[in-house]
Amino acid sequence: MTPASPRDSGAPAPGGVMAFLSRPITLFPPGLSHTPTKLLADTALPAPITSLIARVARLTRLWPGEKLDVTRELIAHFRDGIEAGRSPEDLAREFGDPVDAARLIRRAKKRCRPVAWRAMRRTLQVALLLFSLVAAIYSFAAARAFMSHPTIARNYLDELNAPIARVPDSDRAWPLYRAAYLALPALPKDLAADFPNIEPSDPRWPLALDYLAASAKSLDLVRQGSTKPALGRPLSTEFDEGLELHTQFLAGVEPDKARENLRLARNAMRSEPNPPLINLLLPHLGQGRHFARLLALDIEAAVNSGDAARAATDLETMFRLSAHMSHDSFLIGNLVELAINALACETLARVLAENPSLFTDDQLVALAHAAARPPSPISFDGEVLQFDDILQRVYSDDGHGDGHLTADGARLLRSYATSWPSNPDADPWRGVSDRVRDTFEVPFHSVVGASRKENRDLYKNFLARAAAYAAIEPWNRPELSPDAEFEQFVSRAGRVRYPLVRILMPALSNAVWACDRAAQPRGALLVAIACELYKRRFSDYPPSLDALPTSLLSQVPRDVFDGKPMRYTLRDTPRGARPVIYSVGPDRKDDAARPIANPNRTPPRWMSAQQARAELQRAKACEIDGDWILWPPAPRTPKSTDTP
Amino acid sequence: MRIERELMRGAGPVAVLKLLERRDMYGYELAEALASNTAGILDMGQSTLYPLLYNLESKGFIGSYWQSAPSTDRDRKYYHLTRAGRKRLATDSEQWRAVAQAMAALGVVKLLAPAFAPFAQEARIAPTHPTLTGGDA
Repeated sequence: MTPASPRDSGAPAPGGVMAFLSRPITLFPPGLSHTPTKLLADTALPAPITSLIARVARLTRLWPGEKLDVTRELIAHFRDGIEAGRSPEDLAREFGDPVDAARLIRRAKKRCRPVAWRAMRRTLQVALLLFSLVAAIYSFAAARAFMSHPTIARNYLDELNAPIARVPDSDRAWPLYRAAYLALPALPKDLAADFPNIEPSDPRWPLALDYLAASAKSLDLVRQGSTKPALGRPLSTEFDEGLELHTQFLAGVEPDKARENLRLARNAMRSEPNPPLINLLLPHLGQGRHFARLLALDIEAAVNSGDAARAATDLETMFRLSAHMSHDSFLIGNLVELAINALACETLARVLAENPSLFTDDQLVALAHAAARPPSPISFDGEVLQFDDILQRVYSDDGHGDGHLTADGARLLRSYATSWPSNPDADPWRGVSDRVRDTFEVPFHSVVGASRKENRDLYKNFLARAAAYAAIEPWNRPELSPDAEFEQFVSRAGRVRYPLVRILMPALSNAVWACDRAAQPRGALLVAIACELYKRRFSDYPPSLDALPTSLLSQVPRDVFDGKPMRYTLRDTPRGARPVIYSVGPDRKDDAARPIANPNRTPPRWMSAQQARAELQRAKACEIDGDWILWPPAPRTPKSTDTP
Repeated sequence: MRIERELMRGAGPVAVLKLLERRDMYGYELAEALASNTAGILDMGQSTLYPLLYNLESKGFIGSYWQSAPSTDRDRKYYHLTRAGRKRLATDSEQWRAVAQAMAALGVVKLLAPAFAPFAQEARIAPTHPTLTGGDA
């Protein structure tokens, strides 16, 4: 006889999604507070059966309520069997293997659990799997990064110094420059703000003359040094005590304080037999710039006293001094050479514009030759060596030019990144504590970051592209600069993949443009000297540049913006017709020498023709609309007169 | 005769659903019915039957409830067919018929043997239908 089931009396049917989802998690069946053991103890089943049930229930490892339910059902099952006249042994045998039964019951019962529980379990399983995967990768990366060390195989400093060591002492400019620097008097504070742009009309002019007189020995040594064929300064990461103390003396630091500063600086830079190339000290670059400014001031004084020979000598000294600055093959040396060369051109241009008859023809020709010698082409050789040196200190070495990031290297890299505050994006971990960075950054970069070879290939590739870009005439260059290409590349490849390259990549286009930009006034100066010599021969300036004989100017320099010869026109002034030499500027349009609305007459920045067209359509059009006037030079900026 | 595990995996659930179609049954009763009505062919050990019941329950094809048996005044867990189970049974039965006919066409199965008559009656399978003869092939 079948009993009336509860479902017949209005209880909800077990089927249906909502009923299924809302099924409660039953730890204990309602009304039951037994345990399987207690339940079995209350039954009159034979011992083999109770132990079989207990074992199955235990092996299921289900929730207590589920276990109890299984136990109750098995008790009922075996009691039914015994009541049907079956022996306990038969029943136990027919039941099957308890281990299999427990396994199958557990699996099936777990399927009966609520969807929410199963979803949570699956989520936990996935999370655990992911965590295990990440932990495995992390462990591998951490072990690899922390257990391997960089192999510093090459001493790049020695390699760079080898050719310098072969320069005979008599050919070296450096000993003379060093002596010149040590003989320099301190620059009076009143002159410092405008040095060297102090004119004879300035109330401080006598003070400037006194300073020049006190610097006579230095100037003489610089003039001598500039005639040497080589700079001949050994590269070093060590401080030159004499120079450093004198630098601080010039800066007004008390001697005791200067010595203390030097001691602290030395402590900060560990002395080692194979020091990092990035720690290279290049004090001669700053000294060279100071000498150039001193020479510019001396030229002003020489012109004021009508001493054309001294002015010419100083100008030639500036040109030769500039060439010494790039002897080390580092980009910074190139840029300092450009700056000193540009100052020499600017000074000569001013002298010529304000005192056109000062120099003799021969002096002018000699100066034109000195100015015509272009500065050294932009070179990235030093940067490549520096990069290779860093790679050997940051990455492991597999013997085939490849390797992975090491913990020691990551710390070094971090110190470089924090040394470049101008490029905060280069260090995505900025602000994170050192301990956390050691724990996570190193394995992270070891996995995500590019390998040693990939870094080197990328760096060299873009420097080669920049060199190729610089070798193309500016007006024929592709629209996309190497910097823009590099940014596009790292954006695609992921900014964290190439942190080292991002930190150390020079501003490629800026370096190239610095070279091109300096060529414009230098070219205009050569044209102006030719025009002056023409005027001396023919009483008037040439009506056009075509009228200049090739003996005066072999070729009219080209405008970097459009590749055509620099523009020339004569403009009426109270002193008669005067030449105006100009570039069409970024807008590539000849505006008949109408200057760009720029009160300071600072050089325009480089932009491609396409960028210029876009720029002209925007509000900032005035910054490029017009021509870049290269000659006559910009009038001097008014000097401060509140000082005695 | 022992049925291969894979075959039993397909036949067991539909046999249980079929038994529950007529009335609610408890575990021992189901085990006995399966054994006696199929001449022991679908006699599955309890270690297989109960997991099978829990699986069908988890899928919503059957439901269960505890109730005292009138004769013994003892709790038993009864299983009943749900609406979803009824649909599933119809589908499965249709498929089994198609399989059996296909097997008959190939000569794998014969007409219903006398030993299966009680089960056929219980399950309301037409006696003229072919039925499985086991794994002879």
